[in-house]
Amino acid sequence: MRRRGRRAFLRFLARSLAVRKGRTALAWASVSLAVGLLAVMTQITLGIREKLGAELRAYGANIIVARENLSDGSVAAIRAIPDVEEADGQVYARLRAGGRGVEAVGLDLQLLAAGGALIEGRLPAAPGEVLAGSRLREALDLTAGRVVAVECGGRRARLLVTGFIERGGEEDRALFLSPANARSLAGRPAGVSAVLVRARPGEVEAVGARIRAILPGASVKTLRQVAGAEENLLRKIRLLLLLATAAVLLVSALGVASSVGASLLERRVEVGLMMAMGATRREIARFFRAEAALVGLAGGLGGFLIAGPVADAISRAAFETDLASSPLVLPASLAAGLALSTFASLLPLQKGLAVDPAAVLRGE
Amino acid sequence: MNRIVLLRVMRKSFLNRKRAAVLRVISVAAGTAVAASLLAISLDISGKVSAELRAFGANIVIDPKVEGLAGVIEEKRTLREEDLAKAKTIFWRHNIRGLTPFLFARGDVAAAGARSRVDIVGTWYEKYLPLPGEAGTFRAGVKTVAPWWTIEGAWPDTGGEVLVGVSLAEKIGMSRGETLLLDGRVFRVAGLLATGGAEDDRIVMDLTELQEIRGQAGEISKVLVSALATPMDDFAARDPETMSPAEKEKWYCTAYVTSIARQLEGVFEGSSARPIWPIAATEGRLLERLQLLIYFLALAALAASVLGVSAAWVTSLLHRAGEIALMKAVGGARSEIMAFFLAEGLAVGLAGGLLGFAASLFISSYIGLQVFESGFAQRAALLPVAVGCAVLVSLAGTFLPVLRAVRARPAGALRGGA
Repeated sequence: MRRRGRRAFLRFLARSLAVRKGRTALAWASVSLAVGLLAVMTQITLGIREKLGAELRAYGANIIVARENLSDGSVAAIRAIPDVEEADGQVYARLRAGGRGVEAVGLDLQLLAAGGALIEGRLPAAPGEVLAGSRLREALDLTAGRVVAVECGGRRARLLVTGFIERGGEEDRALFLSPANARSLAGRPAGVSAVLVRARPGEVEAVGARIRAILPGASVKTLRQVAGAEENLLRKIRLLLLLATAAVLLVSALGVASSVGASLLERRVEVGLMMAMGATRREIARFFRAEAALVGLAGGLGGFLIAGPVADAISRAAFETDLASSPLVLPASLAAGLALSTFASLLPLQKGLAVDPAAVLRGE
Repeated sequence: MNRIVLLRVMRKSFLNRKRAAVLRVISVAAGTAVAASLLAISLDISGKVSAELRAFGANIVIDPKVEGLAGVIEEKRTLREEDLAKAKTIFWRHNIRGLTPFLFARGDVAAAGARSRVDIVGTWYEKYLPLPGEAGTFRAGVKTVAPWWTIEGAWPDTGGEVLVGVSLAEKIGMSRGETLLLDGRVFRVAGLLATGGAEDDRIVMDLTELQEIRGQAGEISKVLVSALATPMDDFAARDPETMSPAEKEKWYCTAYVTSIARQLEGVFEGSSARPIWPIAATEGRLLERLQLLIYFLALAALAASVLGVSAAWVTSLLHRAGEIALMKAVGGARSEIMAFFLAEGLAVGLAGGLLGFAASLFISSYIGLQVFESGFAQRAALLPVAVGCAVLVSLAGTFLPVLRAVRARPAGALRGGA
């Protein structure tokens, strides 16, 4: 196109959009709403694995690694494996207290507290302090503040019970203390008895294989109770969101198609006028496509601007964390707006161009 | 005379626009279908996810109550097996999805020429309990509270068979199909059990057989229960003993895991029932999060329906200016014309709403079947809501454009211009 022609084209375009402000605004709003809705739902669908995954972490480990001599270094090595969310060492010691055998577990006490169990009293803080499983309260006649005498492999110690923990399982008969404490009781200079690993749901088998590779001879067991159920749940929630997004997409497309398309149909008079002035069908088509593209891009931008705060608000309300924003969202929104608007105008454009200028100008 | 012409114009207007009217109905139906589907889903999702969460295992454990001296001298108390059937008589009986008893013992195993002392647990694999006072049975057994148990081999289905945990099997050199001597009796290893948990170091056998060997007929050590529970909140966290009678009734009548546990304690003699907090607390939080997410879906549904119906608005009145002008020209009063178009809007809303609701039944069923392998509950109450909204939105969309067109001057519209 000659330069003069191009400028005229652009001026025509701008005026056209300005003159029918109402219709343009409606089309733009329609595209914005559609893109915004899609953007929010897509972001939520993509981020749900991470969000729910964070919640599912509370179910705890899904792999347990045990070997005779596991060093502290092996815990770090496991943590370094990709798709490992957490890896924590535990030290076991078999004690005798009150004339009976009692398991002592040395582990990160903060993690224990975060694991959803019911805790009475306070966590052990100083060396020599323990947390007792709730069933030991009766078995050993314990109360918070009482000291229990224990013995392990000839070593004796007096442990102060700072509180009780209830999880509902066999652990309620164990004593919980810091790893260092457990080691000194068991007479271990260093290292751990087992490592409880949490792998990303879906990667449990792969992580298990990697652990076996770096720790030959170790027993690596999948805690099936947790692993299978998580993956299943995540899969279902994702599918649900996907299907819902698809349904919303269909309806949005219909809405946009109507808005954008209909506004084209009503402009048959304009088309007739342009033809009468000597414009070819192709030039007219280009003009209308450009209009649709502009509205589409503007709508995509509008949708992006709405979607950002809305998606964040939902994420914060439901998951108490922000959605990780991706730099792809803006270009994707613009592209979606463009695509929606363009496809919406295809059919109406065809119909709109099939006019007899004379008839249309006459008012028929 | 003009009246007849007016009516004829109106009739022609309606009939000519059949295609447009159909399109409008479809637009309204589409928007209503998606909105109603997502609303139906949002109302039921909590129940579905709750059932899914049962795959994580039991959330209530029932132990014999051990207090005072009995605890100190480690008197072995047991629960009564006969109380198990009563679990399905509590107020929240329909929330109990799984139930299984355990009996623990230690025994001597002779296998591959060696003897060792092992832990044995007796349980039900799968047992159908009669429902007290009702027809039908309730499926209980370890498969209902520990669906992750993986057997290498087969579940024992005849007497004289046991399962051996994989770790124990390795230690004593057992594999499936072989026989071992347990307390002098011969048992065949039907399969090896792999769970990753404590069972891997045990021998698992049928409860009744173990009771027989040990002479502990009718006794059990522990019960695990898998129940659908409502997430805990601040109210539920309070000690029921500190609640007023009205509050206590509210607590009792809400399916908090603590409430269900308390009711179970009531039917098992000499028991102490507690939630398994790592499971119960986590699933409560998960449910809460998902619920919020789904409310958002419902909102998205509303927005989607606005989009769908807006399609109807826009297509509706574009070509109407000429007809409206014609009606005015033949003497139609503004109010009459408005009434005509609003009636059309009402009809479109009703038709679209009904159609959309019917479609939503299919959509939500389909989604339910695809995701959860069971349809979502269809609620008749959604029908008036769906149709009502469709009508409202259709009328709202009709009103303003019609008002504007009716106020315009007829001559210009009749000429075909703006």
